[in-house]
Amino acid sequence: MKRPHHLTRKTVLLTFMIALLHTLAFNAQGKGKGFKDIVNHLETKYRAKRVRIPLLGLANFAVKIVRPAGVKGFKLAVFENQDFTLRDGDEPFEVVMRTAYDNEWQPLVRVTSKRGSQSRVLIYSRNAGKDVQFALLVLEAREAVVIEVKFNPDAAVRFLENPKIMGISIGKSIRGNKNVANNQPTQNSSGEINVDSVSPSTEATRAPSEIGEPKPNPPLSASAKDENNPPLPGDEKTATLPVEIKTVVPDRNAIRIETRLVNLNIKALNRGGQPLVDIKPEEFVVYEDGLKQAVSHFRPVDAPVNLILLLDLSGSTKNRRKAMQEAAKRFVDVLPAQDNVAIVAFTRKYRPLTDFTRDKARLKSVLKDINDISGDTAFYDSMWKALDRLDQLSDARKAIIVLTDGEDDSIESTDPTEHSFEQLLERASEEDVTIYPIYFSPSNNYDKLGVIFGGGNLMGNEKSRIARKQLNDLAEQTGGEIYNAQREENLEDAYKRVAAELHTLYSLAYSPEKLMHNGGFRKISVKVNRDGAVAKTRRGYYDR
Amino acid sequence: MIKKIVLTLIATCSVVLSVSAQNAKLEIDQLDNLFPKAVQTVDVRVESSLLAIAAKFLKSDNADEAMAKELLSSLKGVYVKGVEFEKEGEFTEADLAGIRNQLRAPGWDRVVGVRSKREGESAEIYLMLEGGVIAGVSVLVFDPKQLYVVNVVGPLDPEKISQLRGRFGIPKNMDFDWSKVERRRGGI
Repeated sequence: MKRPHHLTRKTVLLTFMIALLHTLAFNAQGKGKGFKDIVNHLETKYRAKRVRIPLLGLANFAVKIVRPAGVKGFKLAVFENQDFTLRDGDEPFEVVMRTAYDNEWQPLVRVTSKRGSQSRVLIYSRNAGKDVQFALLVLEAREAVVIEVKFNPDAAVRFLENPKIMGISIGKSIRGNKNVANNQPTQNSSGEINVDSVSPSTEATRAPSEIGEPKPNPPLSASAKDENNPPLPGDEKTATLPVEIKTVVPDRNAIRIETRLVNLNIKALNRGGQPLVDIKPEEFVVYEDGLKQAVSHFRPVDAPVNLILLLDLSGSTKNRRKAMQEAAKRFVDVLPAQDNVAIVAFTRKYRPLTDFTRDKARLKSVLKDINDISGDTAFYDSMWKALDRLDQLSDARKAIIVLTDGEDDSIESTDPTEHSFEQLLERASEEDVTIYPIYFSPSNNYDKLGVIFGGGNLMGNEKSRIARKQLNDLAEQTGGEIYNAQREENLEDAYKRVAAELHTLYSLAYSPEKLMHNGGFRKISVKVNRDGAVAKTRRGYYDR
Repeated sequence: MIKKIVLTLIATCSVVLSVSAQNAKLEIDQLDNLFPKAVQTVDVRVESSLLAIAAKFLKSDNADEAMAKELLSSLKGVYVKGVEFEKEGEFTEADLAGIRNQLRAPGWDRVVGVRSKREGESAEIYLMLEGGVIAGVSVLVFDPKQLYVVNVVGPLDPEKISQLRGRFGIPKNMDFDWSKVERRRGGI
C-alpha cells in the first residue's frame, strides 16, 4: 500500500517541477529574449559591435536594488559607426522586432524616415502586472540603440512627487508641488531635509520687462557712428571689414555741432503693387512727425546691398538640408556681383559661417557644412545678433534674408530667450535693415492634429500660426516681404524673388532738425510724387 | 403587421447602436500598404492600459490636470497612421476608400470638412456620438504628398476635451468649437 502512495508523491513532485520549469522558461522568454534577439540580430546580420559602456552591469545591478523612479531594471546596447542600411533580402526591422517579442508585447510607436539619415524608431510595450515594460529600437544608417526597461508607474509617480533614492531626498518635486518648489531648504512632514540647489531667483534673472519694470528702449537702428558719418557711394569696401568700436572720451572744451543722419531703405510700388525702379531722388518726399525733410543722400536700386543670409538649422529642417543648400547656392548665384553677403546658421546658437564677402565660391562652399548642424531654435536672439552685426557696417543698404519656420522655442515653452519678440520687433522697426523672411515650414499634417483637442487650426498649428504672424510683422515693419516656401520646390522661387526684390530698394538719408533727445518716437512717412505710387519703409525711430 | 414592423425597427436600432459602439475604433492598418513607397511613416497605437498609466502622472489635486486625468482614464485608445511621400500622386482616393467606408457606417457624422485648393490640403473630422457623448473621433488630413489618419476611441466629453486647450502642448486657440458639436451634427 505504501508503494502507490510513494509513486503518487513522486509523480506530483515531477509534475510540479515540470510545471515550474515551464513557467521559468516562459518568464525567461518574456523578460529577456526580445532584447537578446534584437542585439543578436544586429551583431550577426550586420556584424555590428556593441559600444562598451563602463560599469553598465554595475549600474543595472544598482538599479535593481535601488529602483530609482520606479525603474526595476534596464538593458541597453549601443552601436556606433556601423552600417545598418537595409539591403535587398534583409528582414525588415519591424518583422525582427515582432518576432523577438512575444504577443504579450504590443507595438506602440513605429516611425520610419527614409530622408536624411534613414531613421527608424520602434517601441513596444508590455503590461507586467503592476509594472510596465518598454522595448525601444532606434536605428539610423550608422547607429543603433536598443533599450528594454521595466518600471513601476506608481513608484515613478511617487518619485516625481517626492524624489528620493533609498530614502534620501534628492530635490524638489519634479511635478512642482508648492511645498517643495521654492529654492530654500525645506523640511517635509517626515522630518527629512530637502536641499535643493540654490539658484538665483527667477525674478532676479528675468528681463526687466518681464517683471514689470519699464523696459529700456532698444538701441537705435543705426549706430551713432552710422548716423554721424553719412555713407558715401563707393564706401562699401569698409563693409567687408569688422568695425572696431572705440570708446571716445568727449572733450569738454570742444564745441559740439550735432548732426544726425537718418537712413531709410524704401520700396516704391505702383498701383498694382509692382516695384518701381526708375524713381528719381526728387520724386521722394520724406516727412518726420508731419514735417517735410530735406533728403541729403540718395542711392538707386542697383546700389550694392549688404545682406546676411540667416539659415534656421533647427531640427524641423534637418531632413530638408539638401533642398536648402541647393536653393541657397542658386540664390548666391543670382545676386549681383557687388552685393556683400554673410552666411549665418542658427539653432540656439548663432553660428557665422562666413563674414561679409563677395566671393561667391566661398559662400557656396560653406553651405556644405550645414548638414551636421542641428538643435533648437533661438530665432529672436539670432535675429538680434544679425542686427548687431549689421550695425557695425557704415553702409546704409542692409538686409536680412532669413530662411526659417520662425518657431522660436519660447513660443510654446518657458525656455528663456535673451530678447522677446516684442523687443526684436521694436528694434527691427527702427533699424535701417530690411527683413525678408522666407517662411520654410514643410507642411506637417501631424502637427495639425491638435485640432482634435479643441485647439489648433486645420491649416496649421498654433505655434506655426504665431510664428508666421511674427515673421509677417517683421517684414512689414521693415519694409520687407515674407515669402512662402512650404514645399521644398518653392524654395528656389522664393530666393529668386527675394534677390529681385532686394534691388527694388532705394536708400536715402536726411538730417532731422530739432533733436530733443527725450526718447520720443519720431514717425516717418515717405511719399512718391508719381500717380498711384506708394512707398514702404520703416515706421520711425526714437529720439535719444 | 404593425407590431412586426415596430419590433423589426427596434431590433434594427439596437443592432445599429451596438455596432456603432464597437466601431468607433477604425481598421486603419490597410494604410500599411502605402508604407513601402513612403519616405516617412508614423504608426502609433496607444491602448487604454497605457493611457491609464499616462493618467497616473497627472495630479488629481490640480483641477486642470484632474480633468485631463479623467479624460485619459476613460479613453479606450488613440491610433495614428501617417505617410509622407517624396512626390505627389503616390496615393489616391482609392487608398482611403476602406476608411471612408467605415466612416460612412451608421453612427459616424462628418462635422468638419475643409479643403484648401491652393495648398491642396484637406481636413475632415468625423464624430461618433452616443447620447450626447462622443464615442469616437476620427480625423483625416491629407495633401498630395501626405496622409494622416487619427482615431481616438472615447468616451470623450466635449466640455472636458475643450478644457485641455493651452495645456500639455495643446494650442490655446479654438477654431473648432466642440460645445457646438451636437448642433452641427449632420455634417457639412
